[in-house]
Amino acid sequence: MRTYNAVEKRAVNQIWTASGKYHFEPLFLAIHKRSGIPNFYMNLVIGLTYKYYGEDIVNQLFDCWRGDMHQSMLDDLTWLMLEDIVYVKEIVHRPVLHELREQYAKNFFASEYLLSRQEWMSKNQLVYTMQVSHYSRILNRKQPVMTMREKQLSDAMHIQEDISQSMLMHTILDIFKSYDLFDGNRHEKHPHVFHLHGLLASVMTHLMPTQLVKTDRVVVMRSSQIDEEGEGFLQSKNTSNIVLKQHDSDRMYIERCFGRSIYSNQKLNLLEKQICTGNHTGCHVWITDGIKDDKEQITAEERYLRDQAALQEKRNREYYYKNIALHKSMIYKLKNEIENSLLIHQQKNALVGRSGTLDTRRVYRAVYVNDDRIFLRSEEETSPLFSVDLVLDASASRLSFQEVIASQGYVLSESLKACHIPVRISEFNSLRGYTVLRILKSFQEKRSESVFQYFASGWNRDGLMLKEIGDLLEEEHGDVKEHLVIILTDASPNDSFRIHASKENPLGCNYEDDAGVKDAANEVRNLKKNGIRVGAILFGSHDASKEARMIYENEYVRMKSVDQLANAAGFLIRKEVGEMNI
Amino acid sequence: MEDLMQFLREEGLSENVLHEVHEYAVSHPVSDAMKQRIPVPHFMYYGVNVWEDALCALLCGKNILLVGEKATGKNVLCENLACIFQRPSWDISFHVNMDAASLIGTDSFENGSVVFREGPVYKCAVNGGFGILDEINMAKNEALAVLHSVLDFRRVIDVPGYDRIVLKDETRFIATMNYNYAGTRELNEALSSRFVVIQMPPITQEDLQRLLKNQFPDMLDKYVKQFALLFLDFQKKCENTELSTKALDLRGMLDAIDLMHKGLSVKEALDLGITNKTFDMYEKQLIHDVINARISSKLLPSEIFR
Repeated sequence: MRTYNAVEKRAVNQIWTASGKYHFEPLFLAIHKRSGIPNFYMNLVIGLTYKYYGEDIVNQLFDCWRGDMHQSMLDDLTWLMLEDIVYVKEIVHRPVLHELREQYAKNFFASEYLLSRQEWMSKNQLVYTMQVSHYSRILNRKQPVMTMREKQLSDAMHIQEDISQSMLMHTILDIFKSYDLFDGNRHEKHPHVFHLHGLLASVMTHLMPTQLVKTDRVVVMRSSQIDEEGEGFLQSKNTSNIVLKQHDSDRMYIERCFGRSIYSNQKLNLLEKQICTGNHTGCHVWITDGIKDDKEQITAEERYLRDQAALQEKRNREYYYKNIALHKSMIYKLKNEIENSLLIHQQKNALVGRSGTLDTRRVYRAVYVNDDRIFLRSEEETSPLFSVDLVLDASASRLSFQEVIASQGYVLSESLKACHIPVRISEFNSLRGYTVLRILKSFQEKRSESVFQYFASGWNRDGLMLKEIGDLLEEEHGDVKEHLVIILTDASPNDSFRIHASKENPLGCNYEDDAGVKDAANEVRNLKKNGIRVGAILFGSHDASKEARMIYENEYVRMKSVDQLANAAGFLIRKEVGEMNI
Repeated sequence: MEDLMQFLREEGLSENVLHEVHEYAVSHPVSDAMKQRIPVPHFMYYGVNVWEDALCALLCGKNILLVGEKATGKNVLCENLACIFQRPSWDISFHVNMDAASLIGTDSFENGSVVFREGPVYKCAVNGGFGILDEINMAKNEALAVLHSVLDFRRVIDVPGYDRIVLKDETRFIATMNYNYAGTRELNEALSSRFVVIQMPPITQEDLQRLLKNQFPDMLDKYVKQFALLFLDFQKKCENTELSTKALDLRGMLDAIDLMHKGLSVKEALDLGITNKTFDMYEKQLIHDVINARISSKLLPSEIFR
């Protein structure tokens, strides 16, 4: 399931409304290029196409020429025909379509005056002529000047009969074939592939964009730069992100990348002695609030890294504010849902008062000591009853979703704040044997803006992160008894730092697959033993339900797209509230 | 009652069942003091199967739990049932702070002595009425434990320190619940086993059109259809959680049409009746989109009615 921003979400809703079905992802969304608002009428047409012909036929139809060098033209012409076809079918059931159609046609001609020269030049002449002909026909205007062939094509595309599901593809492909627009075979533009070795490969990797997989170096990338097809991401070494050289001290490197530790050296060493044992022997921990020493002498590369992190923060913030209506709506809904749950499950405090339910044990006081406070009244609990720790996986696998994750974290933080529930938001990742837990928003912070500092990089050693969380909750628990830790995870613990050889595991092994899952599962049990509730929001490129069940038992929800993060967290919170004794 | 009987006959309800209901109503008269509590329905519930299930269950002395989403007609059916059986009814809206005392009754202090102030369940029980337990799953299960002996075969209310009250034969309880509403709780087994459960289906297009036609006889058929479809569009959006249930408001839509009938512009009326029920600006846009896909913004109220 893809992630929609506010405008796309509105557009897809218009499509779903017209189709009457909600369980498909439309291939097309109609959004005005200039204004950036949904194109209402065309979205209705898209929805009606799905209504009458179904997802399979629509996909098959547009798949016929996907990748063809004329794909864009064929798509546009097809939508002109589909507009005619579904209009004829739907007008009986939806009379308002007539007015919407006419308005759309008028807007088409009105918008001609607004096009720039570049936009005119980028238009396909045949498509434009067919559009003018099509919309002139709708408005009963005079047809434009056309060649004989264009006139015949326009007439052929003006389909007024009821086309059945089985005939749709046949009809459209026949028209394209008759006018030599598409012969049924895709004519693709093949990319040129070169295999380079040795010195040439070395030179080209410096000159051209390259693809990286998870690394032990910090890189800050914008989501839109990510190669969606691959595991890694595209990176131009010339222009954007830095790759830091190996530092003499990994610790200094971590500190400069993520910020100072909130613990003193002594405390940190003690903590490592306590928790970097068993599978994590030799590992290090770093718990930071992200504050960096600006006076510190840093290299140009490190400065560049900080600039990139600041840039990502700006992008996260921009994404949130660009879709502010949608995000505010989510905060509002989530707050109401959590408040309702709290109201239902919270035990009332009974206070003595002059009205309410009569407390028969106090009746004598009215008679003998003239005390009329013989009733019990309930009072809503206003002090917080539990705290929430949202821990976001910030490994490189999240690179594609940084802006969305940051916005969702902000939404959750604001919703919980409105319900007077203390919330702390952190991100975690692992580099060079260090498992870094960066606190983005602490329990005490009133504002949630710092959540926008989220950025993804490196690996994820879930087991050690869970140990760090356990320690952090002992140190700072938001002044409440009950704690709920919610982790955004792909249930695939994975770190470059191996598990050392031990009695149980004489050869040692990589921290991944079964070993990683078992380790994380153990640490979840340990947290639960200490009375901390742990839930997970599962989101990843593959279905890891089995691993999630092993680690979190039934305390997890799987989300299809990352924009459901706040809702999924809300669901977990409501579920836990139901089981808490508050 | 006769109107309702006639309506059910036209709906095709079994004549035997209707005859038994009529016999029951006639053979269990209500005192004059209680007659004002017999509801006079404003709307009829459409749905023969649900009617038949509910009437048979009540004739057999069972209590009913109506389970359904918002706008499935739960409360309309409750009102209709009390009317057709000619029983006084007590509406008890459940909320999170509901406790045993607010259901059965509570001690009060009058003239220097403690007296028992009767609650709605108690009054319903001694008067042989219909108790409508609205949104029963909004209350805490512990608060509802007091109803166990009322609802099962014992049919008694045992108030500590007072007499044991045996329910009158005619007493029935009809509970309603909306399962998916955020924050509602699961009804525990002990309580749900004391009801026969009727799943309320969403209203169909046909029934919706009949309801609109019934309420606004002068409305043109093509608009009856469009407003019915508009409501179903909202229903689908809510089912798929794209909209909160605030927009799914049948009473709101009827109010809006009523305002159009009085001459208010269509857009204004729909805003007052539906759109403004939500305070979320983004959701308002979605609601407007749904409306615009059915009803023209240029439509005049005078074009809707004959």
